[in-house]
Amino acid sequence: MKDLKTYAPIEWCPGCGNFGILSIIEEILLEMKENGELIENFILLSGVGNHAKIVDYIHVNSFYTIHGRAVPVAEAIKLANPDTKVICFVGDGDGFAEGLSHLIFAAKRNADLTILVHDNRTYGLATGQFTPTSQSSYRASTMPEGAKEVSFNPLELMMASGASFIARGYPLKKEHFKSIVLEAINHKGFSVVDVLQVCVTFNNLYEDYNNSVNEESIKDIGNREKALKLIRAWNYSETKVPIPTGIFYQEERKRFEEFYSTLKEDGAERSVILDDILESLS
Amino acid sequence: MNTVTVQIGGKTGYGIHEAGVLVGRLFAKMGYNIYIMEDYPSIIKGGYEFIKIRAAKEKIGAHKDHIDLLLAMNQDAISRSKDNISKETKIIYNSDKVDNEEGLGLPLKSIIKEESTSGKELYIMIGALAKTLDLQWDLVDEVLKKHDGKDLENKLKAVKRGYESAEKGEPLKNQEDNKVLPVINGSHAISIGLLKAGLNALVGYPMTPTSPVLEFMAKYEKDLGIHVVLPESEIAVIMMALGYSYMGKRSAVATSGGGFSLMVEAIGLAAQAELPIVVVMGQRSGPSTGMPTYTAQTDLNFVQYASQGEFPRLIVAPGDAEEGVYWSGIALNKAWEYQIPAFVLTDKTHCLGYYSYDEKSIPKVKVEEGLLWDGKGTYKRYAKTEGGISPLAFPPLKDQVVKATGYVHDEAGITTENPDIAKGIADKRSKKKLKLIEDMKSYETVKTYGEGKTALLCWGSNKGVCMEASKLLGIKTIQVVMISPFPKEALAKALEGVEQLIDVECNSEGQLAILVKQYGFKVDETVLKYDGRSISVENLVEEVKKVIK
Ligand SMILES: Cc1ncc(C[n+]2csc(CCOP(=O)(O)OP(=O)(O)O)c2C)c(N)n1
Ligand code: SF4
Repeated sequence: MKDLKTYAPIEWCPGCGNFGILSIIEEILLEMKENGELIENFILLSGVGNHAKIVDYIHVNSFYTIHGRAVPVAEAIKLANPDTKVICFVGDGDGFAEGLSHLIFAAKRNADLTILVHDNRTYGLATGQFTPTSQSSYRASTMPEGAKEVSFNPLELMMASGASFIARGYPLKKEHFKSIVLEAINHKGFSVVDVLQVCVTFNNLYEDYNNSVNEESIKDIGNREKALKLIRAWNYSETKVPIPTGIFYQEERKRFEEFYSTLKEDGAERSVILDDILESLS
Repeated sequence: MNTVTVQIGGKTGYGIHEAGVLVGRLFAKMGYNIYIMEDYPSIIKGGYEFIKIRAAKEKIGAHKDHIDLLLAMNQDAISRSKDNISKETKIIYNSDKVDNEEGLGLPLKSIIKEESTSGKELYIMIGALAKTLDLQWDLVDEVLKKHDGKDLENKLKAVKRGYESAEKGEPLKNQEDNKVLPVINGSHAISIGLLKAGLNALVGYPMTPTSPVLEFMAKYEKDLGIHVVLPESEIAVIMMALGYSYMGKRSAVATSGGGFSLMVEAIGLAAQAELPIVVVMGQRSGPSTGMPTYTAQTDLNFVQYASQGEFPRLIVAPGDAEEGVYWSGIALNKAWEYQIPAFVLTDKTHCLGYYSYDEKSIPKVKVEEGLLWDGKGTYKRYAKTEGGISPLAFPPLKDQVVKATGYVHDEAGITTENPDIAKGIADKRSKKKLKLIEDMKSYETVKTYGEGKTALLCWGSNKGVCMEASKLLGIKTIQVVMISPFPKEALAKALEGVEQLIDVECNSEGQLAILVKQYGFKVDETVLKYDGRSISVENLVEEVKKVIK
């Protein structure tokens, strides 16, 4: 198999930032396969939104779940079989609004997942409303005069939650973005990449990003203070300010699945144990 | 004596539960069948609670109001049980806290001081109980050693003091002809059934009355090689469980109405994605937080209809320990055979009630595999088949891709909005339902006990009380064990010759009665209890007498 495409017709708008993510993922998976990685060990998860359609377009194991809920499914998959490589594609509505608690807890547990947030700063599939990361100048059909609340910084939140790999990437800076995603996948532990995916239809920020995205390469990668400084350099509310991208933070920590033992399948042994339990209750 | 009801009452948080179960185990060792009912408030320390232990020669599954022997740790234990105390009731009380009562007063505080066995007040009472019922000292010693061995010396000291302080009363006879059976609660039974049917992972978020399922599984997690996961919310709970299912690992969740409310969206996902899942749904008083530690059968409708869309689901409602094991096993096996959500619909009465469990009386519960892919050709998760069931395969699979989804999908699991395919997969779900209905005809989905032209109709935890009351009244009991798919034929058969049908439920609307009527059956009367308390034998007999023809 030369590529990992499926026959599903791609339903994104022309120019949508999701194409860039799809092609990088495909490239990475193919390269990994060529390097001897077992492609069947990869499992792709998504919730619901335009971003989520990506799993239909990649010929790899996947579970297309419901809005905001990909992450707990992914955690269980990893517990069920620690050899799997689990990648979640989440949206900013999906991951930061509807399913935020799951991101926080997966980070806290250091579940060995890769989370790619297609952060287009709008509810794309729901046709353009505010998300937790929309810029303050954004006007949405549901809030014509602007949001009545301000955005939050999701990466700061991920840091506070215990994420062991935190990054931001811009798919148009192709090589830089690819290296970030590759590192995220290779990271042993919870990795989150906030991807500046542009929604051309409901929040076209190409021009802003092209002018303001900086590629950072950080030497002192495990330094929380430095990481936070970079993460806080941009608060998502403003436009036309420098936006750092790159891997901001990385550490090694005991992973969620390491707390669990391998599932036993021996029925005979189990029935002896159950008999013993019943005996102990009589 | 060949039967006894003991009640222990006192402050919550000071070991009443443990003492009650211990007394149950004492009686069980003598060959008795046991039923234990607990009544406790949602107060961790300081409220009033009681536990009722009933022992009988024959099998029982309900409590009686009348108390034969009362162990009263405080004044509440007596004043709040006045209606259930008679001249025949023997009372052993804590004379530090209770004054002017008939019976045997024990100054627990000073005894504890003399013996320096702090915290062992209830053991003194158990000792006094043992003597009053003329139990063998060896038996007390043995049971304590086996079930409550921590700090044994001091406990035995306390029990001995109690034993010596009381006088022999009418002896409770040994039931030598009976087997000594384990005493387990409904939660244990459900757990055991799931485990026998191959459960790999139990995911939960604590909620009365199903928390004991989590505790039981967690206690034996290592030995059994299962996973017990306690994530951030019931939404995460059910999603994790579906993650396990996707990987081919048998999973279940345990919750109550509030938690299940949060899981509803994912039940639809399980149906659309055709992922097996078992939900142990323990009902309690609602709506909303209601009375958290009190019982109800108010979610029959909720569980039947929860989620948008149309799809088959299995709902079973076990009524005692044996059914807890047997039907939970069936629920898990059928969930995998049909790739559907299955529910074990239970309640506080059943989950937290203790029963004698006779494993020999039920068919063996074992793992029954679902339809597995034969490994030939290209795998399609949703392949079309005659019976509507697509063969299962789980990642990682060399050169194959497993795609699951909550969208309408083609055979490979790719999203589509094609009308023919959409209709096709709805038809597929209907086919599965028809197949399930046929399949379940070979199970005893409706049970009858006794004979008569009048019958009590019940489900779930009311099985025991209905059986006993109908026996006393010389009528029949019909128990609907499977709620969905509705066992229409089996019910019709059970109703043959019945002229008056009296529905007994712990809810205010008669939800089973309404369901039964939808299938064209007639329900003549209802006896409904919805104050959070389970029905006693005396109470049911009295209520039925009012309406029986
Ligand atoms: C529980 C639930 N609520 C609402 C929706 C409707 N809905 C579908 S996609 C979406 C928002 C999508 O935004 P985002 O997650 O940012 O993804 P995008 O489409 O922008 O990629 C919403 C609200 C849903 N499918 N499920
Ligand atoms: S609406 Fe926006 S995010 Fe969705 S496909 Fe179109 S451009 Fe992409």
